[in-house]
Amino acid sequence: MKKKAEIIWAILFIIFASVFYYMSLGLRASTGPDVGGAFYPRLLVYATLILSIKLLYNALKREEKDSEQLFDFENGGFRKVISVIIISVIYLSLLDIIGFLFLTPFYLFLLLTIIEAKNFTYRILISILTTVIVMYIFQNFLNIPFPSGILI
Amino acid sequence: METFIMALDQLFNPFTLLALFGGVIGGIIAGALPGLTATMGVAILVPFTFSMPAVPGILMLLGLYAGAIYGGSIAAILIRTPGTPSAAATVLDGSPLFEKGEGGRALGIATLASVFGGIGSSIFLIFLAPLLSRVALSFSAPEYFALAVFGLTIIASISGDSMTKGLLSGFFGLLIATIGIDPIQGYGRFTFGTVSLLDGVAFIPALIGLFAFAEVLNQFEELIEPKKVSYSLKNLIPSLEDVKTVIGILIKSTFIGTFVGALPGAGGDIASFVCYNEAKRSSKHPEKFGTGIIEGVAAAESGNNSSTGGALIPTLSLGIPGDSVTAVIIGALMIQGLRPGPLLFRGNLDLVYAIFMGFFLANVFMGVFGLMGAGLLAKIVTMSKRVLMPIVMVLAVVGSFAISNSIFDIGVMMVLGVIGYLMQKIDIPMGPIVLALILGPMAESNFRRAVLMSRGSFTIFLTRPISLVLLVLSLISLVGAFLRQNKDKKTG
Repeated sequence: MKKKAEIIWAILFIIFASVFYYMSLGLRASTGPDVGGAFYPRLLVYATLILSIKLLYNALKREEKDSEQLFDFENGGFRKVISVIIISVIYLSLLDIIGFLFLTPFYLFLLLTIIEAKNFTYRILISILTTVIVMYIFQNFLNIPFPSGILI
Repeated sequence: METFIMALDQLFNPFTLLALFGGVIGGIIAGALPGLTATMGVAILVPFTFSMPAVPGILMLLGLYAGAIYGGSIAAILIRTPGTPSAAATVLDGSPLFEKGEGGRALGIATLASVFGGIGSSIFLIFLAPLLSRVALSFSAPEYFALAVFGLTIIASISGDSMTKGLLSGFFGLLIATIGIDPIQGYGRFTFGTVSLLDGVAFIPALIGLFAFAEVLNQFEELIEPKKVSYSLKNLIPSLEDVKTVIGILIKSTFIGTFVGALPGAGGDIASFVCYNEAKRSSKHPEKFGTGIIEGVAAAESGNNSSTGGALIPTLSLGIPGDSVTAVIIGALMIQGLRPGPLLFRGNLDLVYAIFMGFFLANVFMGVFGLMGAGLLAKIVTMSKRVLMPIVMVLAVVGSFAISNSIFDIGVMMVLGVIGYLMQKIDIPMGPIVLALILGPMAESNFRRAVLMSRGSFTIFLTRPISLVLLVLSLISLVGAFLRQNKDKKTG
């Protein structure tokens, strides 16, 4: 599995570097003594490409060991990670609409549920308390405004 | 003298001391909990320091840094899991000592060693940083470029078992760092068409993503739950005999640890292993290392804590981070409007002195609290972290937002967090990305300024002695690392 993951990463790095190369084509050419905005990024692109190919080559050459399990599929660990990522993305996209104060307790509650923290009441309590305390500290002591959304 | 008094005045006011001690205690606790690292703690805490004045803000972070590196030893000894990566070497002898029923003695020695290393390295810091900054005053663009390259090549040479992965991580960071305004011509580059990226990928949110979000995802996948252990904490205060046994190791490890810490990219994890191995190599009874002897704990713990002061030397005097925590501290200084480097010593000497003395004080306090609070800390280590991880997640969100009140930055944090989580699966190290994010812009802008200075000629880097020496050293460290890796492959 690690072999596969390394191959995928090598390809991702190649794509990543190629995108930068493509974008560097649109940059202005050098003017006078300055080497221009594309010179240095392109050096980085070349180096990244060479290293990615080396990673790919090393991975292909290596014998795959069966025991190499990268993600925890058996105990549901990987499913938890995916859930956390999905919930975080939803949280992020609603933050501007609903606001920190009302959205965060739900986010925290779901995270606490995924990680199986104690019982229902405890989770609700922690979710609300944490949100209020964090908000209070940041707004009153640190003068940092929060995304407030349309509700408040 | 006047500056010195001003510095004392800045340090010894109740708010600053409170911030410093709060940082130390928070750091020890964060360090003691496996899954919370020093870098994570500092990255999460940076947003809290925004609205503070510079001295208490920075000292809180430094207190946390020192405390967390020490705190890692508590979990290493009591539950056989390093609380932070830099306590990995402490497990080797700390855990067997605990099993022999000498947990208290091991903790006492770890505390003594950490304080010794921390104080020793802060003395080095106080003497060496000003000297280095004076040398650096004569630096101009070519030297800074060479310095950045030197820092970046060290990453390659310490990238553990796979140089390719370490370098890839570094170049990934360098490419990300080119996003934003071109440093010389002033137009946007690689912004993927969005205005939000015109200022580049925000540094602190990126760090919070790589070191907090990624780690929390790891913990969600597989929570490190400590087993309840029974422990006795007798003999916490080291006996005179024990002190005599380890004093030589402490002195040697402090020298080595400070030096390793000062190398860009090499932090406490490497320092502690180097010191441990050196203590073992030079010991009269190397075979006893790993079976539970105090010399092992002393070497590892004085090694990792002395790396903290060491890492601060290039950070403050040159603006080159010694490890990932000090990279975050550079970010924090910049938010305060302070640019680390020789000019900091010119324009803000009182602040620099206050930081030096505060760091020294943090290490003293760390020892006092470590010994007095050992019972409490042992309880904390064996507590469940289930509730903590979701809270860290919310702090990561809040912290990323707080930098520039931007929801986009929260997105940056999450994306890098997921990238970091997936990179760690194939052992791509995170450290090089962080260093590259700091050193990348420095390398490019100084490279281009130097070329402009010499009207388009690249030879300027070779005709200036300091830049030439640094570039040659970079080449040597790269070639050396490459040869060493090939040799390892053949023999291993």
